[in-house]
Amino acid sequence: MLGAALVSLGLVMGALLLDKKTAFQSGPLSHSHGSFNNACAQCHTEPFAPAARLILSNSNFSSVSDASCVKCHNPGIHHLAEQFQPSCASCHKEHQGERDLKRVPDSECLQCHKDLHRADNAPPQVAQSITGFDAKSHPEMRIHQAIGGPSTDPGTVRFSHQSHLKPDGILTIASFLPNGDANRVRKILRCADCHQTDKSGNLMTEISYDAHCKSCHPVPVRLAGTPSKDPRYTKFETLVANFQARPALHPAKGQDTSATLGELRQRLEKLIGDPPQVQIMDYLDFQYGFFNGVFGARREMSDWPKAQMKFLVEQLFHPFGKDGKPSQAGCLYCHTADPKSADPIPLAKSNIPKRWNRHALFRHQSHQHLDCQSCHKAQFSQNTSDILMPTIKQCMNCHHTGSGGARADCSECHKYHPENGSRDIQSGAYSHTLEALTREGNHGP
Amino acid sequence: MLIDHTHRSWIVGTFAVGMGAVTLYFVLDYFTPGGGLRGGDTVGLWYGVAGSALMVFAGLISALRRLPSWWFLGQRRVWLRGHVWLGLLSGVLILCHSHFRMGGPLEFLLMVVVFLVIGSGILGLLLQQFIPALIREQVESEAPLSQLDEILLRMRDQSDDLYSKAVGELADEVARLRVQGFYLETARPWLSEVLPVDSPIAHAPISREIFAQTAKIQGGPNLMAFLTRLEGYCNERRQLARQQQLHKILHTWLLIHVPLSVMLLILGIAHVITALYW
Repeated sequence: MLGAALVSLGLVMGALLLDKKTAFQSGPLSHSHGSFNNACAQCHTEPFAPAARLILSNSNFSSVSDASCVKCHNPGIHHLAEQFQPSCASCHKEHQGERDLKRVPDSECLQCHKDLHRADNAPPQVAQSITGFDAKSHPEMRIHQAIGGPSTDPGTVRFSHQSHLKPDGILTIASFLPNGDANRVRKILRCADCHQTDKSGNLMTEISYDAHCKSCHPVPVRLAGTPSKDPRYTKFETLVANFQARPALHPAKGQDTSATLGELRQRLEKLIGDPPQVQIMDYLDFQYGFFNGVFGARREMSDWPKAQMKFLVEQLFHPFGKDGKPSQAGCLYCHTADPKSADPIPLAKSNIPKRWNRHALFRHQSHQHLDCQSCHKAQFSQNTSDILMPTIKQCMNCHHTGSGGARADCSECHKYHPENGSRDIQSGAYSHTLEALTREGNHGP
Repeated sequence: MLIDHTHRSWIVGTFAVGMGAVTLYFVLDYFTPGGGLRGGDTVGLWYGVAGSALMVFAGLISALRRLPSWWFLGQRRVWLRGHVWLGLLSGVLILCHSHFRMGGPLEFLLMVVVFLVIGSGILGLLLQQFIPALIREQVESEAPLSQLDEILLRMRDQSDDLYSKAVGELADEVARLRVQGFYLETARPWLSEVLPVDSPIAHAPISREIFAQTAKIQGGPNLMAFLTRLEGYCNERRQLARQQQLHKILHTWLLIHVPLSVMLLILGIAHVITALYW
């Protein structure tokens, strides 16, 4: 008996004297917190409060304060109208070995979402009752919910996925060159030719004209006038030919059509500045001056670019053809006219959604073994307005709680903390997330 | 302690409380968000407190025997039954407290010790169901082992008296030496507290044969009376040896149960202190 007592005391005292505090842990720490294995006080800053737990029946007491977590982490508020803010440790439970702390049990989410009520008593912006991940328990993705009419893609750039995904390929621009053979120069496009994942492997990068459209759809420009065969003007004609061989600049992200027109104007001014000024006025007057009655009695050199610009603008944007029908030439081959636009060329904003499902996360890289078209029925889509995002039922084909199903817990797709939120390190209070949350609809992803 | 029909209320009560506690735990666990209950939350703590209290109660039985005059503590029989059944119930409650996991190193050790204490207790209980019956069956002359030394001393004294009388009436020197050799070298050592190794008397048939051969020695009535009584003593000593052997088996489990209970107490206190501290 004495031996047993000595052995027990020896074990306990030995662990304490050798500073092996792991001996007293209720379970191994997760990898990410492994450096705190013998530094319990780094996280356990509050008393255990056994009396409060036992007598007040309050399990929310935690010896790990939120302030301990925000020393290193920077989470954001979930929702401005959340009824209560759970403590970090109540959801992220440590001492359970290699369990992913970010994988919060569904029951934590369902505390509120199975019967959702906002603190401000306003109606919830998401489904009021979500109890699981099946057709009955989880709502359809918002983009497929026909609220006030059928859901459509808000994009305005005319695009037919079906035409671009023809099994026998699509004619390339080389097919239209003078020596091109329309039957031979075809390219079979794959989804990945235009759609690439971002660095994280999660979402698709935005489609950009320069990266994805320009090679097949340049914006050609032609100057008004007839080329001269007079050898005196050969150099100038060469410059005109070079001008016309170079497509117009497509506005980059954040720019409007004034960028296109500005670049064309610069090029025109450079064009008339390059050649010797000798006889150029006569030449321009003869070859390129008679259009649209721009010139008055007195003509200046600078009048020529202005006249050409007017001609170029008509090329790029001419909403109606000669027959009075809507034109699909120039910019309008892809873009839609917007009379309300204040841009020099009044085109509607392309409005291509950057992210479809704001409240759900998706990792394309994890799904790369699947054929794109098994989820996105792009091969049948002719109109921009078609929504090609999969329905939640398609997700449920693989993600379900039955045998052999991929994970179907809340945290598989949803994240509680917004990516751009933050929490004050000193006080542990949520801060400067208001603006971000307001921008994102008062809600984390 | 024999488990018989008088334990019915204890068995039913323990089973009902145990099942109720486990069912309640699973129900509360199901409705607890965040992966269920843990040892440190309200429910888990209450299970831990209740389990520990029952263990302490079970351990107090060792203190009870040191306080025989404290009659107001209740009947020893009740305490013993409480020790068995509430001790068993404590294991169930501690399992719930631990959320059916082994935990960290100290908790792992603690759980192993809990299992060993309960396991050795159950082993002891099983032995107590069968060994006493075996003793009754195999040991006709069962005696309190605490009085064994006294019994053996009397056997030896009486044998010595009878031996003196028997040898005294033997005229034949050869016969006297044979009786003397048999008694002093074989039979008498068998009646000592420490049994001689490989004594032929240890085996009943051989012993019978030896006594039969010795009885052929020509002697007077004292010799016959001496040999008859001596054979009886030897047989009785053989049964007492068997009783000692069975008694040892009956109580060997205590060598595990008691030290581990002490270990459980110390490690349990360490667990409580460290859990409350951190």
